[in-house]
Amino acid sequence: MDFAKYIARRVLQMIPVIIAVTIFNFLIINFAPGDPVTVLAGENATQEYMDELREAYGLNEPILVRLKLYMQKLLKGDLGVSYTYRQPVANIIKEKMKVTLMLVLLSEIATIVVGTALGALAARHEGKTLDNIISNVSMMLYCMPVYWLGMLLILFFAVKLQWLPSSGMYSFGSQKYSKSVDLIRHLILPSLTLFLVRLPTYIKLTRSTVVEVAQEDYINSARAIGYSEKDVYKKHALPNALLPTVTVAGMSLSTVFSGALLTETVFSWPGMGRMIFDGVASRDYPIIMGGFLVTTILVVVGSLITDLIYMYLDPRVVHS
Amino acid sequence: MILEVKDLTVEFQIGKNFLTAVNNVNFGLGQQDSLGLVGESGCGKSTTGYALMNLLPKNGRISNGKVLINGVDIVTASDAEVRSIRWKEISMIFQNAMTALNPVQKIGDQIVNALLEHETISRSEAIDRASYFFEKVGISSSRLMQYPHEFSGGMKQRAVIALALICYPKILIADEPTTALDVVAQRQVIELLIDLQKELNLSMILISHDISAVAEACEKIAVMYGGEIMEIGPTRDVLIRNNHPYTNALVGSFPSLHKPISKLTQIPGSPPNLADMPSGCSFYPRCTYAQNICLHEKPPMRSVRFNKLCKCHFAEELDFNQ
Repeated sequence: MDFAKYIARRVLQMIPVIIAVTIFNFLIINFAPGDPVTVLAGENATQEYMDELREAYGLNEPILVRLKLYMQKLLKGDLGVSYTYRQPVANIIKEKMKVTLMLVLLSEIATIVVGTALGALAARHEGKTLDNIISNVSMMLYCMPVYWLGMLLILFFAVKLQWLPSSGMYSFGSQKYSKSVDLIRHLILPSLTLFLVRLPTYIKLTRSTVVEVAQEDYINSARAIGYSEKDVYKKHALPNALLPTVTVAGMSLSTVFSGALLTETVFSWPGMGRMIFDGVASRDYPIIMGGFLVTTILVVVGSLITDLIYMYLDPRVVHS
Repeated sequence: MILEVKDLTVEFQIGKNFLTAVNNVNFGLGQQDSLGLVGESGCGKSTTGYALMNLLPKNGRISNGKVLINGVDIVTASDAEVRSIRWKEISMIFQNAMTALNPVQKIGDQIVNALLEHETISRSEAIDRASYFFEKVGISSSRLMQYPHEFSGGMKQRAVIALALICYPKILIADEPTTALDVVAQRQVIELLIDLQKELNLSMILISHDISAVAEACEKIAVMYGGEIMEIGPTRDVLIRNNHPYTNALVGSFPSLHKPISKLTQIPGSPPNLADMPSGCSFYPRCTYAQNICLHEKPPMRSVRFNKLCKCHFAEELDFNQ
């Protein structure tokens, strides 16, 4: 039951971290320039109307009083109501999270699997043609900004070839495809963009670790035993080289959920990233706070998961 | 002959140059023979061991010679042939047992997988044999499912021996099997190797700079210097009645258990730089018996007393007796 205790302790340790980050976020957002009321009221609003709004949203209270109120509500699981959507933030986040997951989860898993495999393959052929091809292509991808790569893909597949829709989640008015097929068609380009943009990280990371591990004595042992080069790398070098990949993957959990902001923007994908972006633009404090809270929790949970996978992958890592 | 090494030459590429690490090495090994390879660090003994399995680092190559294992030349054999010879015909106890095992795989799995790579038997049969060898090297088979970091140094060395023997190889290369161990464990490992060699009919090559370990375990001994075998023959006759000045100097630098304590002698100078080998005999700069001819002419290998081969211009005249 050591393990259960360990998990329980780790989860308890998360609570103060999350509270501290939440308070910090709250203060930062409120001290930042800009006022939600001006955004809400519009350009030609009267002073009385703006005061009314301020009163209605409780924005004229001192900041510490508002912080106390927010934290009290948060403890009850209430994330507040969005100024712009005029809906509970929790509901909005639930909805947006689903949309983001669709886009990001599959492409992230594909990135990890393909990136790791390509990285190991490059390492196995270190200095040879295959390595040069993989390394150079991944360097090229690494240098491409998301929005530019996204635009290129849109230009090619949506505009020129007209194979796929350019943006959004669903097409309006078209009955050509069933709803789910339509959704999948909309998913392809943004997923592909995300995949290509994140791929080089895993390729480079895996390649360099595998090259390093390949120098170890036990790799030579594996060769002496008579394993094929493929098995030497697949069964012996790669499992020993996975730890840094796991760290990066674990840390990227939060990015995965809070959305690939740029990708969502380029493809008008209505997910978490867009939500936070719009929230910041309109000074929608509850939305921003909600988005940040989710991100914070995911970072903390991500690092716990990373540690757990570490233990599984490397028996020398013992929870203490 | 189960193993025949003919004119074996190994080169390493350093920058644009090729350095000869093993130069024209010849020896043979019959069934159940044991040969010790001794010499200072960098004399090419480990490289010779790796070359026998055609397992050189990326920048190394066998530039000349043959290594016949049961008649098959491992130098020219195809990749698939080489892989099937490795571990099944010729296996190795690695120099550093501490790092020779995969840290993230259970030791039992590593041994079982090695066996399954070479023999078509069921997994449970493979586990049985792994248990058998674990007990044989003195480790409880209940520890098969542990990881390398859970083993002590001596136990890791024993586990590496079990791993080397799992396929019942005909030839075993033990590369400095005792270097990383304390003296008690060293003695145990050497005794274990001697017992196993007899019991399993192994032909064994023991690579070591510990002359006493080799003297105990091997019938024959080859003294290497600068990538060449300088003197080879029956262990006793090489160590006690040597003909090569290097052998004499090397043996003189070790304390003897059987004679009263006398001052140990050291060999002046340092081992030759492979990038800048002396022109004639590679040992002449450090040799107290060197003459003009040693400077210009490489001595050929010649037969001397007690069935030995020796590479020295004055081998016949220099009859050392310790």
